[in-house]
Amino acid sequence: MDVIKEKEILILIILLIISILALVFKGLNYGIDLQGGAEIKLKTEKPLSEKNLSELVKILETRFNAKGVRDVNIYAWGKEYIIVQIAGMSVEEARKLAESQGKLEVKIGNITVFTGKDIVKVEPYELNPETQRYGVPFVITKEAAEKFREVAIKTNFSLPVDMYLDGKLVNSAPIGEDLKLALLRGEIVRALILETGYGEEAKKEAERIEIILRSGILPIKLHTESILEIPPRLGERFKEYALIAALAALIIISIIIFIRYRNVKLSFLIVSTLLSEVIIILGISSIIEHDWDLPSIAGLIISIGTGVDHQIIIADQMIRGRERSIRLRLRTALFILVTSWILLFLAMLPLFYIGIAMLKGFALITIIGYTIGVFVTRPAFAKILMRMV
Amino acid sequence: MIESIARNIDKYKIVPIFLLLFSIFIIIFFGKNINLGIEFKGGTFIEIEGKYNIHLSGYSYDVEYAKDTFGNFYTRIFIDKFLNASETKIVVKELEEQGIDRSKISIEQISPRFGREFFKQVIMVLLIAFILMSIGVIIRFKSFIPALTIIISVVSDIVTTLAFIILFGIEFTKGVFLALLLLIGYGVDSNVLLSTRILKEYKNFFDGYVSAFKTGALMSLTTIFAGIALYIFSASKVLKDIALVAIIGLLSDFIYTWFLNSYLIKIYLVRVKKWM
Repeated sequence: MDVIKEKEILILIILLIISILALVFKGLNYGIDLQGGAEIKLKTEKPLSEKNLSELVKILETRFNAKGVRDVNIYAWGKEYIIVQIAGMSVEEARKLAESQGKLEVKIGNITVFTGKDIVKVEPYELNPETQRYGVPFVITKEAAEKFREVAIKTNFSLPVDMYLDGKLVNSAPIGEDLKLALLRGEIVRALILETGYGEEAKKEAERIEIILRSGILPIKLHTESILEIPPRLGERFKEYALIAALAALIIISIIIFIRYRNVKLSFLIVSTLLSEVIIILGISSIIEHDWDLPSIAGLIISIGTGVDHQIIIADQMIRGRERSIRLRLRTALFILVTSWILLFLAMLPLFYIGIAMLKGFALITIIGYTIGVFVTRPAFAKILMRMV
Repeated sequence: MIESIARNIDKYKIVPIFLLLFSIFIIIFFGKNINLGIEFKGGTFIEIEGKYNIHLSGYSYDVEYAKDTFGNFYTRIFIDKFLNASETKIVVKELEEQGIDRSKISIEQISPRFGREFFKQVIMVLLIAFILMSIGVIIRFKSFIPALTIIISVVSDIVTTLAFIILFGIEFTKGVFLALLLLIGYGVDSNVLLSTRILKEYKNFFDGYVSAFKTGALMSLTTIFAGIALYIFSASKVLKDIALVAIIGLLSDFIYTWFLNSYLIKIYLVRVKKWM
């Protein structure tokens, strides 16, 4: 058991134990492409301050909570991106809820009578039992109500009331007889209704408009830039097959290694070093709560690939050229490994900043894999190998 | 065999030089035909689990069928337009009316503006990664020409891989981009191995080359087979793209490392170092 006295091997064993504990007690987190769900990336029209961004996020959260979505995660990325992740809601519905700025404008003819700012209360949407139409009742300020009356009388009730949400006409209806009489009597009517129409679609729209009006106006316009929706079952399948692919790669590599070296002990050592690399990568990802996605799996497979390459380099350096000292031979191996690590690190750095971090998982896992490999598992491998040859 | 290559490296140089010229020719004349994925040009991608005949009204679209190694079918629909929420809703409804369950539909949409931006960034990243890597090689080797031979070999690898992506009409997706980035890393590994063995360890072209070749060939072999396993067993498009391009790149890296970098090192040893 004196192998444990070697510093490199001790570090490897400690890291392995920590990783296994993390995997058992914490498990792994998965991104949308491996567990299913939906993600919408929205861009603000202009970069925003942190305060405005958090206000924006808060309004969006209010909307999704009002909709009763069980699982929603909204956050800002950089100064101009908002990311909405949801489960249990179709991506089209979610997008409509997030995209709407919530600016209501009510016009009679060309005259703006009042806007969303004049609304003091939004009631729950309802079905009018007589007309069978859905609508969202709301209450406006006294000043707005007075203006409404004044404009209605001035235009002689000949024009419909047009309600625009974010510049889109959502309701256009003439002023009803009852309302007309009330206004003519000199009453100030503050309770109005925004009707959406008949049927299931109108009901959904009424619900959405109610939520949007109630949540308030977003400080800036948002544009959807990208959408991803993966059904849970497909995500599961991708995960399963990626695992099979990784295992297949490992098995094929083992066979080639065995054919080349014709040495069971050495082949076993290479494969178990690879496995411990994989376990430590998974363990670290569990501790830092990394969300595994497809690019991350690609990163893992690349780590396995370079892992085996580096071990081949180490093994060949130790086995051949016995006429030179083992230190010189090891130094060459170390030079190649560290060079490879430095260059990979440099190549991966810019990935953290692009495409709103779409490929961050790839860069992160590859860097973790290389770092663990070059500084922990492969030195331990070299130490064990030194005792063998 | 390896010994004969090492001795006749001057003769073999024609292979990489021809390949490189051919690749440059392809990129210059056919580069604009590169088939960008929707993540870069914008649009809507719908993938349905199972095989279906698709009819959509109102948009021009392409349908492609795929089958994975485990026998599952996928119907892939590419719509050239970035649909808005209402349009997406209509398309989904049409699919549902054709008997497709919503839980089998995955949707990916990218706005053209975002796609263009992403593509620009991706090209920038490849360039920056490449420049940083070159600086790293120069610093590590503390010598300009040996670093330069490695850099030339890696650039050639990327250029050739890109040429074959264009030639085979492979869709340029984010998976392909990741594969190119990774090839920079792999290409560096094999070239650093060769240069280190010759210049630092053996200080002799012939012995360094032969010993490095034995190690390097095994490295390429294991990695290519790992790529093949990934290609065969993964179901997702991203992983398949990475695997395919990595295999092409590793093959071309093999040629550039063992026939081009080695040739350049030899010239350096003869002309500058006067070792030979």
